[in-house]
Amino acid sequence: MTARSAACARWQRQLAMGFMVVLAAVFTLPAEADVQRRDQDEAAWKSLRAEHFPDRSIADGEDVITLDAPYRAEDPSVVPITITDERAGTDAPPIRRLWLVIDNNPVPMSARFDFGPAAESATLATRVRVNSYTYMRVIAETADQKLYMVKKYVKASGGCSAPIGRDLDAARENMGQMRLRQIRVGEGDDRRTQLLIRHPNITGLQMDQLTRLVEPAHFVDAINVRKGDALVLDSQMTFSLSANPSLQFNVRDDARGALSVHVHDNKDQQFKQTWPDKQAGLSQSNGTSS
Amino acid sequence: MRRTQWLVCLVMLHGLSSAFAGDAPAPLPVTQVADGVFVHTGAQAEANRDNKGDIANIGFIVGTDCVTVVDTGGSPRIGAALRRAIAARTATPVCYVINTHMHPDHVLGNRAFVNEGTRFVAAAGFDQALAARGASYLDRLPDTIGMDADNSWLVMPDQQVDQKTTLDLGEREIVLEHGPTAHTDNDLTVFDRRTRTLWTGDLLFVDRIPSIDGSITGWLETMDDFAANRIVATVIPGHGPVSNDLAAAMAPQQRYLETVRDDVREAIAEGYSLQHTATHATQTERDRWLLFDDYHPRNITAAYTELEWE
Repeated sequence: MTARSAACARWQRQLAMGFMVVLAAVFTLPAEADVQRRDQDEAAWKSLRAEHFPDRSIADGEDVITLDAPYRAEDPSVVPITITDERAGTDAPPIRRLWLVIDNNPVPMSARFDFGPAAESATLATRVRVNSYTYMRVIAETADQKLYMVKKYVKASGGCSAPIGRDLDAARENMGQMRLRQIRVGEGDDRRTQLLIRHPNITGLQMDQLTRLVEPAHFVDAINVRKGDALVLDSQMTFSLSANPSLQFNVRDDARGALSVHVHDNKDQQFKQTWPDKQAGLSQSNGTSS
Repeated sequence: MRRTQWLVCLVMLHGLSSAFAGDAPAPLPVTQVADGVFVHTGAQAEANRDNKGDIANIGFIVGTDCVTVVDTGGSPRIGAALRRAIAARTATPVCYVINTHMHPDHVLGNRAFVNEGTRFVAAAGFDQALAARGASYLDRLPDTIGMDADNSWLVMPDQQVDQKTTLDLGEREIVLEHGPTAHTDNDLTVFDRRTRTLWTGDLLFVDRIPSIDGSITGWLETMDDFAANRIVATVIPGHGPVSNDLAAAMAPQQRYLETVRDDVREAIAEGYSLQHTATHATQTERDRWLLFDDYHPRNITAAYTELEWE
């Protein structure tokens, strides 16, 4: 077992433990007013914090990162969020790692992103599922080993228990298919890279006492992006990401070589695709899966 | 005599939750829109404490041997009221309950019809779709209609329609058809041959904004198929008034879905993000629909996540 896969296994064990703790907490939550819900959410975070960041101080991250998430999500199974790196282009120690925590999801520790030398910044956008009214948090670790956190309250429910996609069959048939495009930042002409991966990302939580029709969990759990030999982004995630996962990130203009993506799922399926240099942004490429 | 009525009453209430035992609902108001075809028109609103989930068009068709119910409303109480409306008009037994798709405003009244002689009929995919979402439907009810629900509110079909099937109600044939993924992945239409009455389920919204929970391209194909192949005297939409002109009833929905499809395709081609598109696309339709803000951004999200793979 390589060091990386050992770390991955440890991380997944932590996820599983967190799952038990929070599952118990979620199922005892009564329907309450917002304020009471938020107080309870803070309690949920306390146990998560003790588990994932013991003995470390976490400073207010308002000047380090911005989390853009809708206060009321239109579709709980596809909630677009953007994490903006406010340190990019400054002399302050850069962000090396981000954690995304969705307090009231079945597995709150939703994703971890490590940024490499070919990343222009730690700015990242994705789409997540939100299972109930919840705080969403981003914790950033900078190169000087400091932790910063921001949080946002999001009103949405049912994203994890009701997520079998509108088009599950299409997602299954084309599993592992990828798209790479340059997507606008807001209304302007600035663009960043978007990676889309066809995958049903089934949560395994579609419990039903009547029919026993339960889809076993099947979701993307790691995405690695490189430019040439240099790392852009190494990430691990759970089914908190929406079906057909989407990641947006910034690649350094001066990073040379092909852009290659390696995707892994919890059934140990792997999907690889490469886009030649200069061609990144077009969606044609040579893909392989195993 | 009074004693007998009491017994009948007790038998009728058997199986209903104690919350409304002894409080049988009044018969649901229904209108006969064609010979033997009765419709109750739901409120054009979100399910709330005032309408208690009575927001969909539901009803029944009467044959000489059998009655079939088409959708049952958003709670067992609405289903029970529909049952009383049927009993007030005919002694013919309810042989079938047809569900046009798995959404809660159409199926949560099913429990009122659970009975040895009644078969529940739905399209292939209905059971899977309701199984996946049923728990979250039930969880939301205390907040929306102010009622606590349990799993007995979810009634699964006894009979599944893969493509097409015919039910014989006695001197009356009813054709059920399941097409491609459109409003949902388990849409079922009900056609009464004798009166040429088409129940579209939620494949047709009139006045209330359509909601996409399936495929925008599949839905548009389905509407093209309706326009080309259906000769209909009366159309009963899932939401909105009954009409005698299918083309006119479909036109606004067709325009909305086509505009959304075209605008979203353009936004994707020009590199606009999902987030940006969801708040900006197709605002021209804002004043033309009820509940626009409640459903439009979600429709754009559904269209975008479908069309970005084209």
